[in-house]
Formats: sequence, C-alpha cells, structure tokens
Amino acid sequence: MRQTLGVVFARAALFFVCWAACATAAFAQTPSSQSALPAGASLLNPNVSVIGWFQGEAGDQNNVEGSQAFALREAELGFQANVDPYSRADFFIAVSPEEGVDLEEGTLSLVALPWGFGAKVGKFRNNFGKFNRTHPPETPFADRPLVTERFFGEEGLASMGASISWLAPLPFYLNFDAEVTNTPESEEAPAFATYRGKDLLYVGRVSTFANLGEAANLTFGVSLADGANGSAQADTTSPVEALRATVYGGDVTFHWKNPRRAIYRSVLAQVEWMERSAEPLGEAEAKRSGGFAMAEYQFARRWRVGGRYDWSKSLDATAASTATGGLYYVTFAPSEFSRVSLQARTRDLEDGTTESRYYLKTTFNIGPHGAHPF
Amino acid sequence: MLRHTRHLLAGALALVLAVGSSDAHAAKPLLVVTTTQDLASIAAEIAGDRARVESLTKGYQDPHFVDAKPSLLVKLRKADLFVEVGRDLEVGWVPGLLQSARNPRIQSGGPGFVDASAGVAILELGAKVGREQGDVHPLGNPHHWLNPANGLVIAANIRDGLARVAPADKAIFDARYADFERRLRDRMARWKKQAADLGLTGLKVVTYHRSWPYFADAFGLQVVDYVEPRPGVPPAPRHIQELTAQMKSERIPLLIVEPYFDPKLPARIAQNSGAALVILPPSVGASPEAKDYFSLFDAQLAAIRKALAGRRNP
Repeated sequence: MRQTLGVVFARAALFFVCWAACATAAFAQTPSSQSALPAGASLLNPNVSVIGWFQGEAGDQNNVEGSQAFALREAELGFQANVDPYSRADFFIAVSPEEGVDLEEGTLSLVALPWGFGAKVGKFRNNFGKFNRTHPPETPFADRPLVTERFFGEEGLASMGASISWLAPLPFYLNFDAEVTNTPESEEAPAFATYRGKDLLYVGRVSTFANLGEAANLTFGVSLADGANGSAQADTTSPVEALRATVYGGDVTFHWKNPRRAIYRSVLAQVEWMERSAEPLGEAEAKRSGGFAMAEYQFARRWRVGGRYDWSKSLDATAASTATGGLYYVTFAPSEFSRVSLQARTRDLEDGTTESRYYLKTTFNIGPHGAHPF
Repeated sequence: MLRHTRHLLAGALALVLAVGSSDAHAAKPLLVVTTTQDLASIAAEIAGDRARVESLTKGYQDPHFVDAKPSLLVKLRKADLFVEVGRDLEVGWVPGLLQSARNPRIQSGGPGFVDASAGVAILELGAKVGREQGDVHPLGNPHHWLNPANGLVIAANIRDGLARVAPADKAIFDARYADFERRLRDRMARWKKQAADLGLTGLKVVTYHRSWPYFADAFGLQVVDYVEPRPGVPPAPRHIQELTAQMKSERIPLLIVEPYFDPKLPARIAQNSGAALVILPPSVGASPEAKDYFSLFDAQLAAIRKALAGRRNP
C-alpha cells in the first residue's frame, strides 16, 4: 500500500512540475489578434450541449422488473470551456429516470504541457480499448457488447483519478496512456471490486495508426487494466495486500471513406478482445475472455446498416461455456444532429436459453457543433 | 501482479522522460500547418524558403467533413504555426485535433495560432441562426478565401503569425507580403476585367451549397437560390421542382456545384432547366488546374467561360 501511494505521489509531483513549467514558459509571447466578434459576458459561458437518448424496447425481457417499453435512457448535459491558457474543463452529466443525476465525466485537462505530454484529472472513462471511451448515447448500438457489459458494467469502465498521455515524436502516430484511478465498485465494473476504499486501478494503453492510402486506415491498440479483485490474502501478520485482477485487451479498427465523396459512403469495422485473470484466493481461478466484432456500412448520405457479433465467458468461475450474440441495425440520420436506429438482438446464453430483443434508439443533440466522431 | 505493473509503469515513465527531453523543436525552417490548400498556398507565398508548409486536407475534400485522423496529430505536434480558415468552418474536426496535438504553441490564443478570417469583412453575419436552418455557421459564412481581395487579409494574418514565431525573419515576411500584394492586386484587376467580359456582372446563378457569396461579391454574380438551401439537410423534392421551374422561367444560365457533392441531382436540374452545370473548384487542389491561389481563380473563370459557351438556354 505504501509503495502504491508512493507511485501516486511521484506521479502527482511530476504532473504539477510540468504544469508549473508550461504555465511560466509557454505563453510568454503576445497572443494573436482575434477577429472582432460581438462582445458580451455570455461569450465566456461554457459551451452547453444536450444529447437526448430516447429508447423503445420489446422482446423476451419485457417481464423483467423495471423494464419499460419506452424510456428516456439518458439526457447527457455537456459543459465545456477553456479554464485558462493552460487547461480546459469538460463536464458531462447524465440524467436518467433510473440512475438519477450522475457525473459521467468531469475533467480538467492540461493542454499546454511540453514534450508531447497531455494530462487530466477528475472522473473520466478509462482509456481501455476503443469502445469504452465513447459515451453510451453516441455508440451505434442500443445496448453494449456482451463482453463489455460483463467486464465493465452497463455504463463502461469509468473512475476518478489522473491520467497522463504521451504522443511520441515519431513520423507516425504512437500514443501512450497511463492512468491511476480508484478501483470501481463491482456493481459498476464486475471485473474489479474494491477490498478497501483506497485500492487503485492502473490502466495503460498503447495505440498506433496507419493510413492505407488516402481513403482507408487502421487503428491498433493494446490495453491493460489492473485493479483490486475484492479479496485479500488471509495473512494477518503483515499489512494486508488486496488481491488483484488484470484485464488485457486488444483492438483493431478499420475505416474507409472516399475523401472526395465524404458524406455519402463509409465503412467502419472493429474487433475488440479482452481477457481477465485474477490472483486466486484459495483454488486457482480460470481466465475469462470475450470480445466483439462489428461492421457498419454507410450506403447513402443518411443511411447506415451494421451488425455486431458478441462472444464472452461469464466472470462467474462456475460457468464454463461461452455466451454468444448478435446485433443487427439500420440507422437513419435526418441530419448530422439526430439519428433513429432500429435494432434487433439475439443472445445464446450459457444456460442454454436464447433471448431476443428489439430496440428503437433515437438520439439527438442540441447546442454548439460537436466534434465528428472518428 | 501489482509489483509487475509498477515496474512496467516506472519503466514507461523513464522512457517517456528520456525521449521526451531529447525532442528538440524550433529547428529551422519553420513548419507551417494549414487546414486547407488555399491557406497553404498563401502561406508558402509569404514564408518562402523560411518554412515548410503542409495542408491537413486536399482541395477536393469538403472542409466541413474531414476525419480527425491521428496521422494529422503527428503534423500538428511539430507545427510552429497553425492556420485555420476560421468562422467554424472546421469546427467538426479542428478543435479536437488541437486539443490532442500536445503543442501549446498552436492552441487558440497561442503565438502560433492564426485565424485567417481575422479582419475579413464576413458575409451573412447576424443572419437568423438556428438548426432549423440546417448546419448554419453562427459566426458568418466561412468561405471567405473565395474573394481574392480577402486573400490579402489572409496573407497579412499569416505574415503577422510568422513574425510572431520567427521575429528575426520579420523583414523577409514583410517584403514577401508586399510582393504578394502587388502581384495579387495586378491579377485581381485582370480577373475582374475577364469576369466583366464574360458577362458575369449581375448574372443570376444557383449554387449547390452556400460556398460562393464571396466569389459572387468579387465578380458581380447574383446568387438567387441553392440546391441545398439548408446546409447539411438534403433538399426536399418540392424544392427541387420549384427551383427547376424558377431557373427555367428566369432563364438562369448557370448552376455552380462543388466537386465533393454528388453531381447526379444538379445534373438533372441543369438538364430540365436548360442551365449550364459547372463543377467549380472551390479550393486550390480541387482540380488539376487550380495549383495555387492565383491559378485557382484562373481555373474558376475558365470553367465558367466554358460552361456558358455550352449552355442551351441563352
């Protein structure tokens, strides 16, 4: 535990040294003259945006308690602004009838660090894999891939802490991320469980990118998340060390889009795989793995079709077989700011049962123009 | 496992610090990164051999819809000067890139950040703004480089930016700007004469997107309607019918389309109305003839001349 805290303090010290250095050095020059815009204090308000996620569901699970045919799954409020020349703040607050008000992300990011570093503190979605970072309303799916649901819960892996990233000074893209956060509760992310409140989660990711000509490209990433697994060595003579669980992951993403006709056609394909192993308490524990593969084709300016195949072991050590599933969807986007998606999902679970579900996912966004997803 | 992870993290940190500190920057010449090839062409005019200039996009791309690819970050990370068109043209992809570029010099407000639209007389400012109008730009129409007179303002903004990041070379940039200004003014006089000879003064045209008000201002065209009146929202069939009828009855001779839109619908409108369809390069690099900021306007006027000569409703 002492060693763990040492790492955290060393990291925090480095963080603040870099911050102080950039604050004194980076902006010694006169700022550039900006174009004359209408003046007013309201221009200093943060950008405010709301993403609405309305969903209709039907299928086998309608008799499950609390499951309703129609639901406002989430209203995501975004507040984003520069704090000062060195940092920016991004807050995303999710409001839903089931979960109430929840801080989905709230971060202070340092944008003026030297030597290719970036850093943030606060609550954020951990940089594990490619899918986990996307806010739930913005994913193409009405649900979440089975493996991410089983490992990282309904909302994905998100926790409170600090993150540092580094873009290598190379002629191609190579990025390193390292995060130290609280280990989330097992109700939030079943792959981990806190033994004591101060148990930490370490997340690391290395990602790279390659253009395959002008229209196509590939993104690769490997990730690791190491956190407490909710138990400890039954050793009363020395300070108790919580046992750990480690999740390894790999992801590959393929994009295709003709830049001369960017708004009409595109292809997106993604495979993500992860495996969890936990330090055993008593008898040996088996490794648990799973993944998903998805592909989406935009065949007209406003239309997309897509599908996803899921496979995942249960984290419960007694279930030996693998559950599989599929999701199929067609999405219509009237404009860049709204979309409606009709989706069907089947799952073959370990106990031999099969379930089917149908979704109507509608999302819409008001406020300033957000970033196009990549 | 925990100890293993700790060692891994410590090792990674040491590597990061070792390589990071040896990453020397500000090696000459400067690296100027622009969002479009128009800005790159003007920047190259002003910087000369004092800078290497790279554009993040090609002229045949729709500058509203560019993927924020990680490979673009690699260019931005090393940039000494970053130039954007501004007025939210690049709002869908530039802010995120700058935020992830790990380059404090080129952040908005930093010494190496240039908003090319600063000081340009912006059109369509104060128009009714709301998403019921489509993807409108609340800061005015951003296609300002299409009036060559604005090229001078853009060049002055770039000159000032270069002088901020390389003050020792200020005299060079001033001299190159003066030369650019002289040549551009000379060409502008010729382009205006060519446009007048072509009969563009007061000529009614329809355009696909709202890309051309500055071009129309420069050469006297009168834009009467759009194929896509609400940007980003495909037109309703009824609008297309009415537009075709209007073009026919008013004998509107020219339908201007940007090369990144599917020409099928505009071709049908032109066919039914008798107007000439012209796919006009909106940027340097959008056609083989538009090699730089000067030949862009040559190429545009040549394309219009050719289209007008071939139209069927004179």
